[in-house]
Amino acid sequence: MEPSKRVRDSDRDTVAREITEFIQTEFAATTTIDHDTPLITQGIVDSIGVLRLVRFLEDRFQVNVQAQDLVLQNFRSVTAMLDLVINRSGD
Amino acid sequence: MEKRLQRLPDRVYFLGLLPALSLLPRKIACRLIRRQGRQIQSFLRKHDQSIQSNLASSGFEAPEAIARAFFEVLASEDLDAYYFKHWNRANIDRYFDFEGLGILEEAIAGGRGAILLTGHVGCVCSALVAMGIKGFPVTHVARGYPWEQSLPPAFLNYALKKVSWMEEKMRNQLIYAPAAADPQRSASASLEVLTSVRANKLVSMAIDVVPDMAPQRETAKFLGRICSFPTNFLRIAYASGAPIIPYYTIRDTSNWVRQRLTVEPPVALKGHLRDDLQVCVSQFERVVRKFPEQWFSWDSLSVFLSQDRTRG
Repeated sequence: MEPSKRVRDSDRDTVAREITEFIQTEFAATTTIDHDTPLITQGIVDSIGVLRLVRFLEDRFQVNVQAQDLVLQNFRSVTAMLDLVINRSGD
Repeated sequence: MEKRLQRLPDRVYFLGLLPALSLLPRKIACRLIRRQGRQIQSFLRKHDQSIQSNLASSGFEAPEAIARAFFEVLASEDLDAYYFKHWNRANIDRYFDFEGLGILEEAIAGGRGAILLTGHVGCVCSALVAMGIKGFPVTHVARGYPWEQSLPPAFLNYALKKVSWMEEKMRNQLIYAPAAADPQRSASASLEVLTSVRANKLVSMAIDVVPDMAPQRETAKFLGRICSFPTNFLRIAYASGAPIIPYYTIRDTSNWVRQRLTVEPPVALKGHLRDDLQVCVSQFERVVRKFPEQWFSWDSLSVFLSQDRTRG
């Protein structure tokens, strides 16, 4: 996916796959991650890892994650981050 | 007087004696609280011995004298809280010397906030209040105690009051990072720190946090030992792009009324966790070596020791 393009709803599968791959690579996740796996409560992403996720979403998808978005529910699962990217894309 | 002050119940000490002393002229109150500190030293013999032993094994001469001053500083810090409400922009310079505040102004002008790195040396709470009164948008990451339930109720009552007075003067709330067992609240605290630095605030964090309260650690040389220190402040700086600015507050032990808040230039981060941590720890050690009586963790030095002997 071209990072500079606006992320559309039709890109959901691609975005979700990229987020999942990032988590599996960066956090050495040994468990299978589906879109609704609770990443923080299962210990896949820790307190610092969540900051790396913020940076990844901003850099990779060129989204502007705003102060009000920096809450746990936006990073608890791949689906939550996907929604955040779609909502903030093009801001 | 000395005998009556001995072994005061916590409730009397924190909620009776301290507020009463704060009503006296400052110099008299300072003299009495130092005496109380020496009383505390006399009945905390095991702690006193441990402090002196750790001082001696770290190469300090006259550990008895340092330990005595340590307890005087410790009690003086307890008293400080009751002065917070009296400090304001017009009188704060009577109680504080400031050095390097321009560095904080530059950080604010840079627009990326900053991680203010300190340790349990001098009175961090007083420093935060003073910076808030000076107009800096400062907050602090307060760590939850895993053993909080075992703390005396009178101390908890005092601590809650202290936090409330601090927040009022800082015009910011502390960021509460719970003990590590709660991953959701820990992650929330990290996001709160990120939100704060992105809002161009100065977020203070301590480098000398014990393992029970900050499990993500790395080793560094400290006081001639291989110790472990938390790395969260570095990881947050890497993730946010915020600079790390060391600061510390030292009580003037020649008159006991004044304190000096020193802000140092930002750490030149290389992006290598161990190396960057060592730089920060070495800077902190320099302060501890210069003002050993003002570091509150001498008693718990052993908990910082690392089992990792690969670093020589």
